[in-house]
Amino acid sequence: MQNFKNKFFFIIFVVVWGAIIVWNFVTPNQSFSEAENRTLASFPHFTVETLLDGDYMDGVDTYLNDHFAGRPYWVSGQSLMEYGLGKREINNVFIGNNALLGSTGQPDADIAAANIAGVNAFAAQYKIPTYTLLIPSSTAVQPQNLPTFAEDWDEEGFIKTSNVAFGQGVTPVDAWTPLAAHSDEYIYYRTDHHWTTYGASLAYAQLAGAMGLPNRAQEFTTQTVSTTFEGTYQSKTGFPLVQKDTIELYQAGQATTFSVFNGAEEVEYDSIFFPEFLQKKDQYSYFLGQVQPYVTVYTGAGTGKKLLLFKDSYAHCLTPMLLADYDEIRLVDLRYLNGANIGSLVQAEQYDEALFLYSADVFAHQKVSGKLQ
Amino acid sequence: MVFSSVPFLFYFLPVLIIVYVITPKKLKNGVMILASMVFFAWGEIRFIPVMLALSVVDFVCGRMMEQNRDNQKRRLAFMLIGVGANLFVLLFFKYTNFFVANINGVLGTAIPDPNIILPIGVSFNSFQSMSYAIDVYRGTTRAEKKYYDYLCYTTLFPQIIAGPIVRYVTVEKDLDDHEITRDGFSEGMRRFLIGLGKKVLIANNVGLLWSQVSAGTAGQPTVMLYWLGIIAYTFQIYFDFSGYSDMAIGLARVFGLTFDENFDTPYIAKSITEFWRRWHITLSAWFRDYIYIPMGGNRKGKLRQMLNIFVVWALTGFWHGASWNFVLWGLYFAVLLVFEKFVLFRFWQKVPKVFQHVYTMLLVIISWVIFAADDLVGVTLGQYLAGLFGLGNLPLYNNGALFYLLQYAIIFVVAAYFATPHFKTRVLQPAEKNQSKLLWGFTTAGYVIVFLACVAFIVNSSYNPFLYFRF
Repeated sequence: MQNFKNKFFFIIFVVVWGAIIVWNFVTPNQSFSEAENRTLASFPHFTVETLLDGDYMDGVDTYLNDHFAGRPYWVSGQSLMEYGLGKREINNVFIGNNALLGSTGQPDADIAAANIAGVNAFAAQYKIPTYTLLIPSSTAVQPQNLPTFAEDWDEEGFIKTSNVAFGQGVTPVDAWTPLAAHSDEYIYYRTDHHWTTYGASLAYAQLAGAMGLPNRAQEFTTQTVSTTFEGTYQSKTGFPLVQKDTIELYQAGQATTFSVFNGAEEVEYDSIFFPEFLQKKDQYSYFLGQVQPYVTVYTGAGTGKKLLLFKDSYAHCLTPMLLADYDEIRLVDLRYLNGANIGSLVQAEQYDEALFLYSADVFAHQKVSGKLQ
Repeated sequence: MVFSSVPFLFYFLPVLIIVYVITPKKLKNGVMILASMVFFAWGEIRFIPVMLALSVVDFVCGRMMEQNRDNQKRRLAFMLIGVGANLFVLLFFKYTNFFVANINGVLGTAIPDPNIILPIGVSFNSFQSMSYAIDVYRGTTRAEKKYYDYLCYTTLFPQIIAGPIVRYVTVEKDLDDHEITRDGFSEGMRRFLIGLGKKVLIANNVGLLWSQVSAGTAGQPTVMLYWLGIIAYTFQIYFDFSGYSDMAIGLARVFGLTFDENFDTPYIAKSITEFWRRWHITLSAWFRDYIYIPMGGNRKGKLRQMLNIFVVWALTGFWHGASWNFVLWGLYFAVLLVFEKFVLFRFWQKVPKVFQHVYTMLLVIISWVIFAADDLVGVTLGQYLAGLFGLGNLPLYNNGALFYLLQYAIIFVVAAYFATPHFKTRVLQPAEKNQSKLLWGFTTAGYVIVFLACVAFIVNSSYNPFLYFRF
């Protein structure tokens, strides 16, 4: 009997083990993982030095792990097992009620203060009407979707304190109130950290009022561009049981030219939409493409007004709602610009109005407008 | 290389098994040596020359003791050379930084930090080699005749990183004659998978909680959070280390070698004395046989016995790491062991068993706080201990702590269950004995599921540290 048992185990185990090994041999290696939205490690370069200090071996380890056959399936399986064992937070993402929500942690007081001071310094220097819009995350606005006892930092308090700290010439626009009022609606993606276009339109209404623009919500042409979006939170957790997201487009007016400065040169496109990303993992990049140091949208609006928009990617789905009100909108991502005089680099003096639009997460944790001091 | 990694499981091990099987018997030890070198070099290539040099010293000393069987002085001299060389390497690589820092601290000197990096496995390797020299000296074993076989013994990859401490006597016979059989492979692999599951599915998971609590990134400290953290560590260190031993023993079995057992469900102990009979058995046995008994053990009066206990346990603590908290950890056990031997055991039989378990686990958990004091960021050992017992002015609990409690409740229950012998004696062993083929089908499926689950965790893990790596 023992003989039978060992033979049986031997055959089954060797078949399973061998199958995984063979699967690894026949799977072609990819350099980029769509599922994880990142470049995979390449095979390490061999030198005597890297061999002696062990970097070579570490590199091989990472390479083999990254290129393991069926990696997304293993990762999803692992995620499900953790969920089954009661884990409700993986890689700083909460697994909630049919939604994934971010856990970004306490704000960095120094960075936040610098960002506020940067906005104030900008307004004082250029003396153009300057607005701010700080956007809370789904974690803060939709706590009803969080797992039991989960909590993150006080974004509402942070936004309110910041709004008070903005100085003369700066008009803070309140995104919290309209979003919180629609907390039960589809205002944030379930699998991604961004707000939905509908969520953005709620803040847009507030913004239009403050900036003296006509509220064009009734004129928007709306279009569903994707129903298969799985965003950054899905990548971070690999958690497969949350419903895929729908991406919508709300638009007023038309862009004529879209000029992208990628850090080296300006490239021109005739649309601000990039449908090719809808076939990839990173579908949110449908709006304005991937993040770049700065991009400029030219429209045929004929209003004679130009807007300078300092932003993170939350602005991307909101921009199409502004096309009828500005001849030109320049969107600047300060995370990718450095140097002494960013204001003149982006030709701030040419613009009539400025808007600082940031997620509370970025504004509290990353130096953005702080670079303008 | 670690066992719970893609390179080991899907490249190293299958290639080694195939090469080993097709190699003629006489060359099998050569294959093992080569494999062990690659395995060891993967993590610690710079130490290989030292290891080879030491193995030559060990071997030559062994031969010389054998040849001078009638010359007591010479035998003693060669034993001392063998032990001394290993002790020197251990002291040099593991303790120089510590000694320099303390000399600077006490004398106010400014000797620069030598910054010597501790090679993986040196603590285990040197203890193993010392046991060889002493055993040959004592005549409890014959010296190995072939350097080739000795080198194979001292580098055996399953044990080279984290034990168990395998004495030469244990594997002496196997060294001449080992092979992979279907039975050995199947039984060894099953043992390996149990160890892999302990390490990957339990230890790594609960370890995540401890790493957050100890680093102060788990939110505001509360009494509950501190308890969750140290309970997590209590499970982590057991499942990590005993899982490693299971994997080592299982792998050895695959290649036809037999290692000593290293753990015997230590958390069911009813006293600290019993705990140490069940925890890291090969290490305690080493200190018992090579330090405690030669110092007189319990044969020279109570006072001397107490002294012996204190010396042995200070050394045991110090062996675990070049830091004062490990010495403190050892002395903590010395106090408890003396207390039990001379006071507690007079009436311990009459105490209810539940109380015995609670007493033991509580003291063991406290010991892990001392043991893991190096991990603490932003709090001192004293503050953490005070916090545990409500003396740290911490809130009892908050939502953050409750959140962690909910997340880890299931895995704690699972871990507690597998820390008892129930699964082994009531599930695994009956399945091995049962005549039902169907039951065996389920058992095999269980092993395969554990394997696949481990692979999923390994593939996704950047979090894969072995606690006993730096020992």
